[in-house]
Parts: sequence; C-alpha cells; structure tokens
Amino acid sequence: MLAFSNKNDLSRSAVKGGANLVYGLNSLGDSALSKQWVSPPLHMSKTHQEDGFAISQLLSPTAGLLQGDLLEVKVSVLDAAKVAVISPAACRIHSMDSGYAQVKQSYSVETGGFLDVWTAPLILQAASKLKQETILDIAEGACALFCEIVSPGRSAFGEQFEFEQWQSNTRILYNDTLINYENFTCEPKKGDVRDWQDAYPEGNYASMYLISSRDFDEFIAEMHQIETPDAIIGLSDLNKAGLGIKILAKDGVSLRRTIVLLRERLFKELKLSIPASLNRSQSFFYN
Amino acid sequence: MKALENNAWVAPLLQVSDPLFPTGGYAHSLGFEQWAYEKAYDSKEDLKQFFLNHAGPALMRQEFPYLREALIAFTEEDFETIIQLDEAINAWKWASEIREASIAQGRGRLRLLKQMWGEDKSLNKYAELFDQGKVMGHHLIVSALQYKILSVPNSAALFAYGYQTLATYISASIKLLRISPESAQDAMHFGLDHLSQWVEDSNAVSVSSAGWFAPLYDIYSARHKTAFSRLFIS
Repeated sequence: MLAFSNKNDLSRSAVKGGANLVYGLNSLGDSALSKQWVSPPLHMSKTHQEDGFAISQLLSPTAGLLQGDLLEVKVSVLDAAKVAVISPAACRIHSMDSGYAQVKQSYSVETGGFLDVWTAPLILQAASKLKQETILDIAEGACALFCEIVSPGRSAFGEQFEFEQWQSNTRILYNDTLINYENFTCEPKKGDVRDWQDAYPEGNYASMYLISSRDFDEFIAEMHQIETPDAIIGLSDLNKAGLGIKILAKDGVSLRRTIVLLRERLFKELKLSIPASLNRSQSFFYN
Repeated sequence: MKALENNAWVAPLLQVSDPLFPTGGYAHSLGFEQWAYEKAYDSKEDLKQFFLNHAGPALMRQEFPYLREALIAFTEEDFETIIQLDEAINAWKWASEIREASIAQGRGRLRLLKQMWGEDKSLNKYAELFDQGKVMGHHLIVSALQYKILSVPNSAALFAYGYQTLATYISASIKLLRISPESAQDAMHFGLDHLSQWVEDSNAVSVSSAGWFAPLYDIYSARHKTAFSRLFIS
C-alpha cells in the first residue's frame, strides 16, 4: 500500500524567481510601467491606467512557496509616477521538513512619486519556515502605503500557530534615514506568540505603513476613536516621517473589513481617490 | 577622575540605579499603563505574568543584546557602532511614546553623568556626538556609557539594567494596580528570580538577530498617547 506524506518532496528543485518592475512617467506624462522582468512563481497581468495610477496585479499561479523557494520582488517608482501593486491571492508557505522558504522585497520611490503595495495574506501553514526581508526606501517628498497581512495558519483547517518559524526583517528609510526597523524571529513552540494570540487566539495580523512627511497627529487621534468591530488597531507616528498601523482581528473577515476602512480613510487623508479598478482587482478584499 | 578599582563600582552603581537618581523615570510606565488598563490587571500575580510573558522576553531578546554590544563598543571606543546602535533603537521603538520616553530618560541620565563624571573621555565624545545630532541619547546607550564610566563588569551591568526596567513597572504598578508596596516587592522578587535566566539566555542572541514581536503591546502603547485619561507620560 502506498504511503502518502503531507510533507514536500525533497527531490523537487527549488524555485527562485520574482519580479523587477520599474515605473515612471511616459511621453504623455502618465504613470506607466517602463521596465519589467517577471519570473515564476510570479505572473503579472497587463498593467493598466486609471485616475493617474499605473496598476499592476501580481499573481502566484503555483500553490505557494515550498522548501528552498526564493521569491524576490523589486519595485522602483521614478519621477512623479503613481503606482499600485496588488496581489489578490494569498501566498501559502507550505509545510517543510527542513530548510526554509524566503521572500525578499524592496520598494523604492523617488521624490514626487506614490506607491501603494496591497497584497493578500501570507499564510504560515503547519511546519513551515519563512525568512522574510523587506526594504522600503522612500525619498523626501515621496509617499508610500505598504500593507502586509500574516495569517498564522489555515483557519479553514482549524490550524493556528502550528508553523515552525517566521523570521522577519523590515527596514524603512526616508530620505536615507532609518525610520523603522522590525527584526524578529517567532517560534510558537518556544512561546514567542503569547502577545500575538492574547487578544484573539486566531491571531489575524496586519501591519500598514504610510510613509510621508505630513503630520498625522490629528489623524491618529481620530482613528483611535473609530469603531472597529472584532479588531483592535494602534497607530503611531514613526521617527521623522510617516505612520505605522498594527491590527489584530478576531477572524479574517474582521481583518479585511478593518483594512478596507483604514485604506479609505488614509486615501481621504492623502486627498487621493482610490481607482475603482484597484478595488475591483483586489478580489481578496472585494469578492 | 577618581580611580574606580575592584569593587569601587558598586557604590556609584547603586547611586545611578536608585529611583532617587533623577532621570524622570518616575513619570513613565513604558506602555504598562494602557496594557494594565486593557487587561484589567489588579494584582501582583498579573504583574508576575507580565514579567514572564512580556518584560522578560523583551529584555532577553531585544534589549540585552543591544546593551551587550554597546558595552563592547564603548570599551573599544568604537563610536561608529554606537551611532548605528542608537539609530537602530530609534527605529525599533515603534510606538512614539516609548521612543520619546527612552530619549527623555537617556538625556536626563546624560545630563547627570556630565555633572558627576564630566572629565570622562568616552562621555565627552558621546556628548559631542549628541550635540552634533548624530545620536539621539537613548536610555539604553547612555546606560551602557554609564556602566563603562563606572567600570561595571558586563554581567553586572545587564543585571542593573534589567533591575531598573522591572523597577519602572513596579513603581508604576503601585499607582495603577493599587497593590500594596509589599505585593509590589513580592512581584519584584519574582522578576529578579528570573532575571539571571534572561541574562544568560540573551548570550545566544546577536544584535543582528535581536528583536521581539509583540503587536498587542505595541497597539496598546500607541493607543496610550490618545487615551482619554492617563497618569503617566508613556
């Protein structure tokens, strides 16, 4: 009788790929994708324009990341381009016997530019290990909105905090100054997630960063007053420029609802309208 | 400067570690006020759990590795590393009140060190960097400088820093939880019982891997800034 293992086949070759995207203004002065390199496990749909934005949709047609896989994403926004990069499908980090999967992402925005990075969750499945490195390099006078969602297991399977390890290193620079630094290793078996699970055992978590030179004091006070059913949010001004937001929610629906609410308020604060097709394309949030 | 040999560091260390040493620490709870309110803390047992699940791991995984590195850097007069550590601390203190509390306490301590050990070479170099805006004056870094000036052995320095951190929460808890001084000391005793383990375990954590993920504590610390009523600055 055949025995099936739920672990991955170690003989499989690791996939190392990703995307390198450069945006700028075209000859008509519109925001546009000017250079691109995309490699499996990523696929990119045709970039379209709406409300002055160039909107790109990244998808991972494979099941997610397996042991040894490396996903590298680099996005550069030049000139005064306005860009939105979305990923509407969750990225699963699968169970692995040894080793780890790796995600490296770097985003840079030149003066006058705007970048919105809005992805569906990373799902840390049972016995998975992920090393993640994120760099945001934002020039003075530029603006970036970055959203990251992490789900500590497949809730449909009742899986919670059974992953092996999540290692994350995030550096945010504004005008070449380090304004935010997150560096940690979470291993549930070592008791590292007590705080994470404290408010809601399922631990649906998201962090958002809005990097901009404007003052957010009033906005922070206002956001701390709004009702967010089954979710708790905290906003803090970062050192020198920008705003950090952390969210914990009871379940995925509450988390999504809270993120959508915050995005609407943030865009309003920035006096920008969200292109209709941007929301329509982000089917993880609008389905 | 008066030579501080053998155990001569003990008396000045007691002085600078004492709550009477006016660095402004009494005005801060370092995020504990909002946490205790949200979690409805009301006993010394709650405080002990806070030490076990939050304060202790944060010291072990984040603060002690930085303190150890800063001690080495001051000993080797490696001020480039000091600048980098100070910059990193400024960036990993996500909640602005916690960041500003660290700077306020650090600056208060630096001012006192200048009054008492003003001729120390490292102190003058650090003060110069501070005046030039190259360092922010975070409490952890200024504490490391102080331990170097007093020739405090590294392990004792980590214990002293850990004691001061726990004592800040204890001091705040007497007002916030309305527990008796005896109960507060019982909780402190519990924390200090675990301190040696946190110091020892921190040996395995390098600065490059140092960090502690506590999203709920961050959220509550951020919300404290706009809380309707509060006793402490942070």
